[in-house]
Amino acid sequence: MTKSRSRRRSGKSRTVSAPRRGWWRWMLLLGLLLLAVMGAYAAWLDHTVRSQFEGKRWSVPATVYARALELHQGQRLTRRQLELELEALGYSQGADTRQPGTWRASGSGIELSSRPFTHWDGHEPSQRLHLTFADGRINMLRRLDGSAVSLARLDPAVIGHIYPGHREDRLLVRLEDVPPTLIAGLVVVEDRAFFQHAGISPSAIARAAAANLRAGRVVQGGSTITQQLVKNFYLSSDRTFWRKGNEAIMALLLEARYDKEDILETYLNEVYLAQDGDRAIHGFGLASQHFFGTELARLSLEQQALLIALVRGPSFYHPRRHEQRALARRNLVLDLMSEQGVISRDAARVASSRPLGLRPARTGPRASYPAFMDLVQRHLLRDYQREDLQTEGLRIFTTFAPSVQHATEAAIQERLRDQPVDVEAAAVIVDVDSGEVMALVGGRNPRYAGFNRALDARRPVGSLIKPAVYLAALDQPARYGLGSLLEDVPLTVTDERGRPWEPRNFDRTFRGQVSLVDALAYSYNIPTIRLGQEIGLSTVGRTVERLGAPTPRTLYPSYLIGTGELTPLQVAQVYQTLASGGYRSPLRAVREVTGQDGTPLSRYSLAVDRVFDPASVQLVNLALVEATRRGTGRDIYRYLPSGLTMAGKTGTTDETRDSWFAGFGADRLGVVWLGRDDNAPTGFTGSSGALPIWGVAMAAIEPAPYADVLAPELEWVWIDGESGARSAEGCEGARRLAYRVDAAPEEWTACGQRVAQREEGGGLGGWIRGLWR
Amino acid sequence: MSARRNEWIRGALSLALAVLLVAGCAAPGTYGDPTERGRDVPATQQPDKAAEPELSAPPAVVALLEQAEEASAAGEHDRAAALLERALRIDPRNAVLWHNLAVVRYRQGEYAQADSMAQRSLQHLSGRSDLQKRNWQLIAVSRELAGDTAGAAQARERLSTFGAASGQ
Repeated sequence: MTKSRSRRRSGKSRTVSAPRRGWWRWMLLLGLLLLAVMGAYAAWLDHTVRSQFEGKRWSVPATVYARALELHQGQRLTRRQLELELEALGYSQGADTRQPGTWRASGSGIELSSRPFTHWDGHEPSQRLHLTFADGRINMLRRLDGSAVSLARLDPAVIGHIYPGHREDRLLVRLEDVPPTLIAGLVVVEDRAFFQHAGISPSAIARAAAANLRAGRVVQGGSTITQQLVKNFYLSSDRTFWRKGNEAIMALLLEARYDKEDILETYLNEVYLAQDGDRAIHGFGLASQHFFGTELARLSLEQQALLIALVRGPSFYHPRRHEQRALARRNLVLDLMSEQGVISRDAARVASSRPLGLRPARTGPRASYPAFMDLVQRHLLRDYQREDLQTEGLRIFTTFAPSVQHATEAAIQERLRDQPVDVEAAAVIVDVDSGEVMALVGGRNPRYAGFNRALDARRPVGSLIKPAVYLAALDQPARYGLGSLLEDVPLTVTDERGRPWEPRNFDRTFRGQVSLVDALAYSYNIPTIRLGQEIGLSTVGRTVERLGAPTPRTLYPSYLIGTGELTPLQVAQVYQTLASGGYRSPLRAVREVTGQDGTPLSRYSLAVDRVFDPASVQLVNLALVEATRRGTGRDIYRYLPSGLTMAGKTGTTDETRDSWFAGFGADRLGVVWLGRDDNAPTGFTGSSGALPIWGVAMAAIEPAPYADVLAPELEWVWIDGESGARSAEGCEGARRLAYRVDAAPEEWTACGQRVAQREEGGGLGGWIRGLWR
Repeated sequence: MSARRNEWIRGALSLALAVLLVAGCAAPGTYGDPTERGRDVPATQQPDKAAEPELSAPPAVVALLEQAEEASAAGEHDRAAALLERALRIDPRNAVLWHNLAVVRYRQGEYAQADSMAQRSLQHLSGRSDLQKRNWQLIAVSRELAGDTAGAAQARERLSTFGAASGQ
C-alpha cells in the first residue's frame, strides 16, 4: 500500500518537476534508505552486544575430579600407590616441600605438602605431612612438625572436563575479588584512559599510529580495553576494515549501555592468557590457578604483573617457555605501574628482583580417562541437560581412583602386548561395600575414546552366570547345602529351536556324582543345568534380576551355563551384590555435584538393598573361594600371594569367543573381559585370558582378603564327599563345609557317628542338635 | 494402618532415635557408655554388659563420627550422611556407622534404606547387644512407616527376645 502510493506520488512529481529537483529527491531517498539500513545495522549490533553481555556470557565446562584420597594411619595404601596418586594430582617431586603441591622421598616414607581445597563438605587446608609404610599400609602419619593427624584429605585430581565444541576454560572472578593493584596495573598498561573514554580513544589511536609510523611496522595497538573485549567477545579475529568498524561501533554501544565496572569485570574473565594442552585458559582467575596454583586475591605484586604482561602475547611471553622474555615484560609492567603511581618505586624495585614465582610444572602430560568420563556423563545425563554440563562450570566429584585405574590399565597393556591388535579388553574395578566404580577401561588402548566395551559390549557371560544358579539353590536350605550331591551323567534337554541338545562339561567327561560346592568350583556344566532345572529357570532368572542384571524375555536351559548377554559393568553389578553379602548397591561413578562456587547441587548417596539372605550368599562365596583355591580360578595365585583369600569365577564362551574373570576380596571387586569386536574366537579361556589380567591388576591394587568369618546363621560341619552324609574330622573323605545351623544333613557316615558319640562326653557336638531336630 | 497411628509412631520414634544417634556418636570409639545407654533403657532391662561387643574404631572414623553427629544435630542430614559414608569407606564393617547411617536415612524419610542399613549393622554384630536391639527397633518402625506390617511384626518378634523394653 505505502509502496504503491509513494510510487504514484513520485511518478506525479516527475511530470511536474524539473530534472534537477528530481535528482535531489533521489539523493534524499537514498540517504534516508542508507540511514535506515545503518540504523537497523546498529540496532542489530546493539542486540548482539546486549544479548551476549546480559545472557550467559561464557560457557564454562564442568570440571571432573577423582575421589579425594584420604590418608589415615593403618590405611591400606602402598608407597607406590601414593606416588601414583600424587602423579595424577600433578604434585611435583622436589628437594623440599615448602610449596603446596610438592613431595619428596623421606627415608622409606614420603613427605608431602598438600594443596588446600574446598571439598563438598568442608575446607581442607594445606598440610605438610610425613608418612611411612609397612606391610602394604600407612603405619605412620604425622604433620611435619610432629603433631598427630587422625585423617588428612588431599585435593582431588582433575581427571577431565566436559567441554562444548570449543575447549575454553575459565574460573570466574568478581571485580571485588581482584586485587586493586592488578586492576590499576592493567589499566596503566593496556588502556590508560579506560575510565574516561567512551569506548574508543582517539588519542590512543593517534599515539599508536605515530609510533607505528616511526617504527615502520605495527608496534602498538590503539585498542581500548572495551575494544579488546568486543573483539574477543563478538568478532572473529580477521583483520579487516569491516571488523575494525564493527569493533568501534560495538565498543561505543557497550560503553553507552553498561558501566565501566561491568565491562572491566567481563574483560578480566574473558581475556585469553594461556594454553594447557588442548584447553584454552581464559580469564585471570583460572590463569592464576594455572600459573601459581592459588587464587587471584592471594597473588603477590610480581605475580600480578606477570599476568598483566601476558595479555599482550600469551605465547610470546610464555613464562615457562620464554622465561627471560616474560621476566623482562613483567618488569616493564612493574616500571609502568610505579611511573603512573600505582605502586611505589621501592615496591616496584623489590618486586622486579623476585623470580617469576610459578608453581611447579606438572610432571608428565595429564592422562585422559575417556571410558570413565563416559560413565560419568551417562550417570549425570539422568539428572542434567548436556548443555548444563558443558556450560555451567559444574564441579563433579567422582569415585575414580587414579592408582587403581593405573594398575588396571597396566595389567591390560602388559598381558595384551604380544596379542593381535584386534584382541580387545574391558575391565571394571568396584569398591565392594559402596558400589563405587574406582576404575574403568573400555578397550586395550585406554586413551582412545571410542567404543566403550565396559559399558556397551553385551556379550554372553558363560560360567559367570553360574553363581546365580547356585545362589537360587542355596537359598533353599531345606533342599540344598554345599555338600549336596548333583548328578553328572549324560543329559539331553530341548534347546531354543526345539531340538535335543546334549550339553557337555568343558573337559567332556562325566563324573557320576559331584558335590554342589565342587560343581561350582570346577564349573561343571551338566550338574549346573540339572540343578537349574530342578529349581526352575524362572527362579534362576529372578535371582539374576535381584542380583542386579537384566534377563532375556524367554529363558532356555542353555541360559544356565551362560548364553545370556551382559556388559562388563552389568556383570560387576551382579558380583557386587555377591561380594557385599547380598546387599545390592547400585554402581555409582559420581558422589557429588556442586556449582562453580561450591554450592552443593546434588549428592548421589550410598544406597543399599538387602536382596538376599547374607548367609545364602556367603555359601556361594565360599564355593567361589574354593574355585580359586582348587577349581578353575586357581591360577590367580600365579599373581597373588597364596595367603590372600579371594573368591572368583572364570567364564568362557563357545570356541573361546569371550574370556571372563570376576573376582573379589573384602574390599575390591574386579571384572575383566577379553574378546574380539567381530565376535571371532580368541583362543583364550577365562583362566588363560581374563584371569591373568585380573591377577596382575589385583596384585598392584593389593585388595583386602575375603573374610571367611561365618555369618551367625552358619557353622562349619564335616561332610563326607562321597555320600554327602554327615561325617567328622579325621574320617576318610570328610571335608569341612559351611552349613546353616540346623540344616546339616541328617544322615551320618558310620565313622562320623562314632567320632561324634565319642565326643558326646566332652564338648557338645553339633550332632546333638541334629538328633533333636 | 491408620494415619493417626502412623503419626503416633513417628512422634514417639523420632524422639527415641534422636537419643539413639547422639548416643551412637557420643563416646569416641565405642558405642555408647553405660550412662548414655541408661538414658533410654531402664536399668533393670539393660542387656548383659559382658555381651556388649567392644566396637573400637580408628581415630579417623571417630573424628568423622563426631562431625556427623554435629551435622545431624544441626539438621544437616545430607552432610551427616556424607560424613558417615566417608567413615564407612575407611571402616566398612563398623556396625555403629551402619546404624547411624540408618538413623540418618530414617530421619530423611527413606525407610527402606533405614531398614537395609540397620540389617547391615546387625550383620557386623555378634552376640546380643544393645546396638542389636536398637537396630531391630529401627527396622520395626521403618517397616511400619513403609507400610510393611508383616515385616514390622517379624522385627517386633525379634525385638521381644531382648526383653520388655522393646521401644514400642
